[in-house]
Amino acid sequence: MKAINLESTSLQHSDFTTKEQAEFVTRGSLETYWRLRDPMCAEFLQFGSKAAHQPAAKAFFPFLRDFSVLELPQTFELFPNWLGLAFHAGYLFGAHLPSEAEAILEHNGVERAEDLWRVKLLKNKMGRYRPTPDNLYRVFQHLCEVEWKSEPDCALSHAIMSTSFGAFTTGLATATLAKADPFLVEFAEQITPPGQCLLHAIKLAVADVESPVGLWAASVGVDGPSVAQVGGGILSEVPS
Amino acid sequence: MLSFFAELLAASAPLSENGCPVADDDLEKLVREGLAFGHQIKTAEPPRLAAIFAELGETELQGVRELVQSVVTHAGGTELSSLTATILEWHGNTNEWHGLKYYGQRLDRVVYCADFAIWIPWVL
Repeated sequence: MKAINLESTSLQHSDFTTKEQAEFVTRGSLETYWRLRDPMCAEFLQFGSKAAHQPAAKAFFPFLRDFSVLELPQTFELFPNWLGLAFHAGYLFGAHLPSEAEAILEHNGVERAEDLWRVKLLKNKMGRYRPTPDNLYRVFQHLCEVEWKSEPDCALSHAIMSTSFGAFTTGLATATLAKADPFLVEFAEQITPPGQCLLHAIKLAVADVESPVGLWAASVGVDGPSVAQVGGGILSEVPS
Repeated sequence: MLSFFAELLAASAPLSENGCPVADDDLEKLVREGLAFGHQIKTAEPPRLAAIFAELGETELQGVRELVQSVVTHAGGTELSSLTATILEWHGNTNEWHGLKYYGQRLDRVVYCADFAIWIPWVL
């Protein structure tokens, strides 16, 4: 695992540990990191364990995990918020780590084409308006009204999880592929993510993309598990 | 802000990542700690404070000064319960905090309240 340089940030080892991190140190188990008790995380990890989704799922899981920690409700009312946050998370990831983002998008040709199609959809829906966070929120709100309003509550959770994942990869494509597309470049260049969460900014700057769990573990002053230790890939360690 | 929360959390027993004290009752203590932290920085680390002010710029700083002054005046001073209630009232109106629905929103409120409290000794 690549070393995580925390010296360049104001975050220092052992400032404090959460119960979950303490449990990781004591038991050596990442169970608390995966948050399997949250059905959303459990379902996503199952989904992400499929080879076609793995690279993008690895990149998205830390964000989804934060949504879980913050207990963002999976309601229709907040569906546009989920999509906006996921889209901007993908955009920031792609803007900070363009080569890693392109490698993720190249992994699955079908999804890559779908992502570009969704960027075009967003651009067209935006019309003459700039893609500010507020305007994107309104577009996502409109799309939710059209696509998901009649969705039964029992299916909404799955829809929010999978559509947010799609919004994340669309953000990746906007920050990378769209900037090389003459039709999309103006739209892509105008994206202005909302106030960046410090923790995400730090993660993007210092975390090894192959081991997003590394920062979580490093913050308790120990090395995170190497890729080899978790069986060749983070998601493959998740119990079925 | 990061060092303030790191110090605060390091001083307590490990909390769950979903278990930070975010209830209304916890905010008064947070404001007290924020005021103390602000005083500590002002007294012990003047260059750090000067750097923060320089980064903000004189115009912005004047705006912060006026805002803090108006909240403290409205609260009738820095007595904790009154000050906390006034900070909450101001933030509630500014950020439309009406009926917080989930942990992340309450966590946001904690950060904003602590931030406000830290600035009070800096600019008054």
